Amino acid sequence: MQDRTVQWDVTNEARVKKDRPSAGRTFLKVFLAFIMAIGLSILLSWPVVRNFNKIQEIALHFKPKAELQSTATRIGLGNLKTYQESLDKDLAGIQKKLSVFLPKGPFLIINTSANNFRLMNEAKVLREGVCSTGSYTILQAGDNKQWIFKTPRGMFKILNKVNDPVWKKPDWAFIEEGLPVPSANHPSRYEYGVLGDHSMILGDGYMIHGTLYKRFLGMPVTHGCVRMGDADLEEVFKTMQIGSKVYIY
Amino acid sequence: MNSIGSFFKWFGRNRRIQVIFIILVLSLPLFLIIYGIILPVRNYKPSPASSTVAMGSTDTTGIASVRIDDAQLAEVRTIIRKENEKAFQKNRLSLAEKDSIYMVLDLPDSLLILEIKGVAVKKTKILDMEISNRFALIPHENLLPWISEPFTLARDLSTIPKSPIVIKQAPKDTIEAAKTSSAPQLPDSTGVFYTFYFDRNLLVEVEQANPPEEDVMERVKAYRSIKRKESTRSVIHMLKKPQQNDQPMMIKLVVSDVDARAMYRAVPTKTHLILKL
Repeated sequence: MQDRTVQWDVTNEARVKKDRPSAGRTFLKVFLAFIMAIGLSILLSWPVVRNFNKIQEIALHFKPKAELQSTATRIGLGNLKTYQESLDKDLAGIQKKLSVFLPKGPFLIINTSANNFRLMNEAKVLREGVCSTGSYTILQAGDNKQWIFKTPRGMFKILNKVNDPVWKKPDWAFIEEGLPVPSANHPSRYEYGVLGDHSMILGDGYMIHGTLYKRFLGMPVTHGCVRMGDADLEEVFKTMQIGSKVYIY
Repeated sequence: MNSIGSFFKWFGRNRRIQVIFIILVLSLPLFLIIYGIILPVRNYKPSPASSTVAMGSTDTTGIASVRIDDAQLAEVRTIIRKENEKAFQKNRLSLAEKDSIYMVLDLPDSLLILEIKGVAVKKTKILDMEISNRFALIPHENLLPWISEPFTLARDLSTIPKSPIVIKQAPKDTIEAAKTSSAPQLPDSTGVFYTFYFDRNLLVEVEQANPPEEDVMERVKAYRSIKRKESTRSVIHMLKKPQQNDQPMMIKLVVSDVDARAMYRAVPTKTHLILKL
């Protein structure tokens, strides 16, 4: 009987010993739990970081909105009417000064991004259509020479109107064709019929003119000039006068 | 498997470890929310001016409040509208006098306008927009000096190039010139997303309304990744200085891809923007 009790105690003690974790294993478990907590923390923080501005905007929504008191105090409650009148007067003055910039007659707006145009008179659209503008090609030749074929942006004026224009080919036109550049007034520089029936001079060598390449209208293919189809060119040429404004963007 | 099971058994039994675990898990998100959101929002002084930009803003905190009835309130609102209009028109006049292409953001009419010398050459309907709640918090007295001068573009980030430049080498002879393709450039694929960073903390994001096409997804992803990095940097910056008051005044606009592209390509690199509130 006594022997059996002793035997039981020994077995129990061994099992308890086996179940008790060692210090190393406990440390490992704590460390694992720590790593898991940090990982989860970063995981939970990520949506906060990614939507930081949105969360801030939501939080700002609950702040009290701006009040009008300070404006009323600045002006003075007794002066509201007179102040409004002076504001109206100021506004009318500014509007008058601004109206000087509005074109007095017909004007042309050219969109180089969409390659289209609008012929306008005050707020009325007289004609709309497609055109071709600069191709944004940089032509590089030897001797560090290069040309960029882009349509300039800004406000221009029609400096001259020409019927049956003749194109005097610049140097780049020969270089682009792989031809030797002739002298300044060489007959090979003059080409007839390639600019259509009319051209309108914008300055610095830029023009609005017709084209032989009608299939390219609506595309950025030119060397900087604005090309139009025959009917559009006819209408624009008739409507625009010398001094009329051309807005290119 | 057995060791994982024993870990979770140990974890389930150990109440103290569980508490520490939960505290650790919540510490970083709570820190971010408190330091990055609650504190800056609570301490936000409603003024759009950055500390680096000298502004003629009026400190309204010391002004004693006055009692105003409904009729006077309506009049004050009209005055505010007219003062904003005056600032807007004055800005237009100042830019029209210079030879420049500039943008006008008309928030009441939902229009993004391109002007050249005082003439609106392109009016783009804004299809959708998001405006920072900061605008509603800032009193008119502080907003007015902020919008009273045109904003100047400091830098921009975009998925499209400013100019779609193609470099071509001059042909040696006519044979080589004939071989060179004269086919025009194909129209750009749609994927127009950009951000304009103006001075005085104004940030204008422009997005095309339609989803980007497959072939430009890489560019759009790269753009969004840069934006995310910027956002993360601003979070870190905010955590370093939670009291700072120069968070961006953000306006996000959704327009058609054609309009978004035309607007981006048309404006000069140091363009100006007039904001109408």
